[in-house]
Amino acid sequence: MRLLTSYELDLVAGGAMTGSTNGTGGGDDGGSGGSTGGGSTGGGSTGGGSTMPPLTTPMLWQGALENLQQFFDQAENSINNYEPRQGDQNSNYDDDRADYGPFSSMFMEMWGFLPSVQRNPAAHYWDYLTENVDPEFLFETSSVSGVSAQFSGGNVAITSMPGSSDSNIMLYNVNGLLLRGVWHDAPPSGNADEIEVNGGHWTFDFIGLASDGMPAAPPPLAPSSAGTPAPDPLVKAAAQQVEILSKVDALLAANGGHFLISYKTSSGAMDTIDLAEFRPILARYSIVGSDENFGPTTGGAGQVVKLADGSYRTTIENDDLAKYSSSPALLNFLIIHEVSHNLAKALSYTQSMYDGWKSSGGTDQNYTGTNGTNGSPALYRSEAYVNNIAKSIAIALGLPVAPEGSIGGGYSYSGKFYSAP
Amino acid sequence: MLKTAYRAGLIYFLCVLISAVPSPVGAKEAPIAPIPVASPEFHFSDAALDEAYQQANRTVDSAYEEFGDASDAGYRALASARGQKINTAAWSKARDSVLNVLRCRAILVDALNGRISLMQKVKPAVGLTELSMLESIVSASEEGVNGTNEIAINMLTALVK
Repeated sequence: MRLLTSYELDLVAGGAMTGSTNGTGGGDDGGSGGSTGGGSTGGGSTGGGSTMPPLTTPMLWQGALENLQQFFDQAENSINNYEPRQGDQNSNYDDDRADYGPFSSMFMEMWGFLPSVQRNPAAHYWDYLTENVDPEFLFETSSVSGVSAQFSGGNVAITSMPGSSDSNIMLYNVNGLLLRGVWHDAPPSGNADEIEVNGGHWTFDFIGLASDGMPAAPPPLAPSSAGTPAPDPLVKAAAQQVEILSKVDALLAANGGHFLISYKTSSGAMDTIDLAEFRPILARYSIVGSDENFGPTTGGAGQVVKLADGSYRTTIENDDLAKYSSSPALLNFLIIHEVSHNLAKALSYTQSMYDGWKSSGGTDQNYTGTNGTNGSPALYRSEAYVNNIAKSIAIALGLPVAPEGSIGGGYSYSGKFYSAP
Repeated sequence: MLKTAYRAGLIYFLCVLISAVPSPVGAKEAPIAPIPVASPEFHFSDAALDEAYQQANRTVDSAYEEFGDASDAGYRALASARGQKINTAAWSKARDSVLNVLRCRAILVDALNGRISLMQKVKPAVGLTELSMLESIVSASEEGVNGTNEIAINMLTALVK
């Protein structure tokens, strides 16, 4: 099992683990078997005297294992003592009350009789939600290969590992922490991080945060013998993002919450951004891999979008992500570049380039080059603009800078391909 | 009447369904922001040179990692020492952290300069395509030297403020 790094610990502990070097430190004292469990309280934000704000659900590795132990204990207990309860809204013995659900009662009163409404699961909301629910455990089978449950330590969702057909490898989402669970049909060997279930045992390793999105494919499994496997590109990207976030937080904390970084614009003049604007975008940013070929639709290796919930997501072709993750400098470039696209000045500049392109007769297709030609000067200027920001931020954070020649697609840090817009 | 009401209900129903689907904000108005296509990993055509270059990269990456950890700790220590007087415990801890940053920076600068020296040494022997990449490697290395110098100065300035 891979222990969380200090950065990952700091992130998942909400800053409580600052200064600690392993996953079994004193930050998990709230998670030992109490009714709220280690992962569901907010103690991490006040522990350790850290000035960093909590970033996500406090959860230590040890706490995660304790939560999983609680989960398995309660699952076994619940299933063994299963007794349906009439009238329990979480029971699968509920009455067929069709007027309970997300449709308003007025709507159901008016239209609930219609077969078209009746056929919709939302018209039977509670039944739909609870048809497979254990009344005591809130254990729900969401699909053939997926379950979710509430237990005393919080929530857990178990699904098959994306991209994997191995039924012994499952993706566990334990209070927002993504773990890979590997089932071993053999008694545990006695390691502290094994969890025995029905004579076999599970082992777990950390693969990311749910807030970063679900992994597109299972990371490679660690060999059973000693040895360090090459991390999955998505895991590397998530770890690098955490590292950048940690550096941003440290720099901001040391400078009273604001830090101006200058960068060269396309005209050659200097402008500045405040790292305080960059930080919340980075904190809500995630990368997901995809097998889709984005060339025909975006003209690049993927796309970054702001989602309706306010988070930012880059969807990138797996092949390109693997190339970016081949060096820290390239991975820094990818993350900082994509996040920088969402800074107000970058958005404004990109929009002005795009509007200018469209108003002079350009199309979406030849703006991005999705019609088979190279991308437009308007796009290149926008990318170069963001490249300059990304480079300046990387330098300010003390991160390695990718050589200009290693960035594909004809983009340039200096924007030298084109004169001033 | 019933037909009209049914339509209204259907529209409401569709609205509920559509609103439940997350969608990119402003996807229709804003231009697409494509991700730059990643280049294949760069290698010099000369195997011996490439091995030396990859070794120099590993040294630089390792030094950057150490410098990154040190500067992280340095900034956090400086944050804790904000407003503290010189020679207080927090200030002394910050000073020690900044000194560690300087020590790590020296190692990093040696690594970056090593890579620069290697590039300058082989510059006359490489072709035009590799020359362009070589120059951008030198440039990125020099920016690393200068950038980390700025960080060190910023930290020292914060320490004595």
